[in-house]
Amino acid sequence: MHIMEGYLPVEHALGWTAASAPFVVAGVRRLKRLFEEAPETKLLLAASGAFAFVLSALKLPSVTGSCSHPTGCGLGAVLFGPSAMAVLGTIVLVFQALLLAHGGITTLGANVFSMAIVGPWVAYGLWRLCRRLGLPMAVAIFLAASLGDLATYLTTSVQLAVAFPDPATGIAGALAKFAAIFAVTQIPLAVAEGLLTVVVMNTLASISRPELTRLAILGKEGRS
Amino acid sequence: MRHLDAIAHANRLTRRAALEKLLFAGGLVALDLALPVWPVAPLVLALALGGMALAGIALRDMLAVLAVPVGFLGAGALGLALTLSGDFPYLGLAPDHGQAALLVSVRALAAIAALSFLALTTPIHDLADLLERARVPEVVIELARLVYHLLFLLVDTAFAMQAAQAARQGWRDSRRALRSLGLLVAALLPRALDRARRLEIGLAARGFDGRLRVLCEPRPASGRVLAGILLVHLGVLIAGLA
Repeated sequence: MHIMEGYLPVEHALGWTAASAPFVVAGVRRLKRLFEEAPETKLLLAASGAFAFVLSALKLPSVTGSCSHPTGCGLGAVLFGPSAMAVLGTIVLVFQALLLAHGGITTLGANVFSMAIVGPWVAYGLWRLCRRLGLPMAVAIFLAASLGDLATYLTTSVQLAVAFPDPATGIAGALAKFAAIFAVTQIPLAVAEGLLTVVVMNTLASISRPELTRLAILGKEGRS
Repeated sequence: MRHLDAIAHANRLTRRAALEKLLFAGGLVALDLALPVWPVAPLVLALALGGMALAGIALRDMLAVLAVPVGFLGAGALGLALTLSGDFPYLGLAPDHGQAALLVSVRALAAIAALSFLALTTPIHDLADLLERARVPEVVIELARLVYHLLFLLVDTAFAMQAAQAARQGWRDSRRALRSLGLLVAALLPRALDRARRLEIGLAARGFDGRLRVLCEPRPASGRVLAGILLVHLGVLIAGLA
């Protein structure tokens, strides 16, 4: 759920940029180390970034008949790990703003925060938790992808509510309003994305074991 | 998307220094955000459209770029203009009758037009060079260049796969569409990684040292043009403060 260019007041745009910066910087540091140890991962990661961008260019059919594109947060977090996602997500969001006129540069910080930080970390955390609890992979993937999606939308609602408090009911009222609007449109989409990610991971597990092993290098942060 | 990229590579301003275009667009966005919506946002919008016209971009293309964001803006404005309450009828028009929503939308439209000016006149590699000189970490720029290099091929592959699935009734209803999209994404990932592996071998054979070198013509920014742009910004500033 991209916030458009020019939509946030200056202080908010700067504030969210400051909030996102440490995560992106940490991600950049990690990638720098990774590239020094294993230069070939640079192209692997670039391919993953291009893949994440393409996901956003595809249309995801939703149960209610509305249409949107998959965010790929859950899939990306599980495949590449959340700290790599912070950097990849930032790059993808810049390209979306410049090549698809989707999102913006002054709102980049806010969008990175919801889509490249909160979404992936929630998805990754749930995925690790479900695996530790011994839940089947399909359940873990579904929960990670769909709830990661919802976390993203909820973050966007909060960002909008803080920027545009309701004149009568304040920030809480505005949050309830934005969350209610998103609930109608985005809960079906989150479910659709969860199901989609299960299909993707099942297919990958049966046809692409070697690729998954290669990607495991990128996501190993949580495994050590 | 490919069309937008093509325009960025072939318009009358393509060969101008990226710094000039970035200054023009960035300054307009900053003024738009910092100053009162009226009269600044309409001025910014007019200047951004004028800039695109100067670049020889067809009106049709400008409208095509702005159409999608305008749709989102409309939906967003609706959200802002409404208010929820605990009493019947629960949902109503905000006390200001949507005036705030209108102001935010007009401001955002102007900012989007300014960003579109940059996106439509400046090739991505020129912007990457500029960021590199501004000391953005090389890792990020290199990665962004590689992503850009790979994404058009991958988008083409994805659309070809989608067309093939659609021809086999794979997108007939939403259940099938969901499954088809899942298969598509799963089939796309190994292709993306395979392409990266082949690129890696090819680059290694050419002595890849971790840096992808692109031939860039040096395009120094003209001081006179930069001063002219700042003068335009100053005009907007004065109009905004008056």
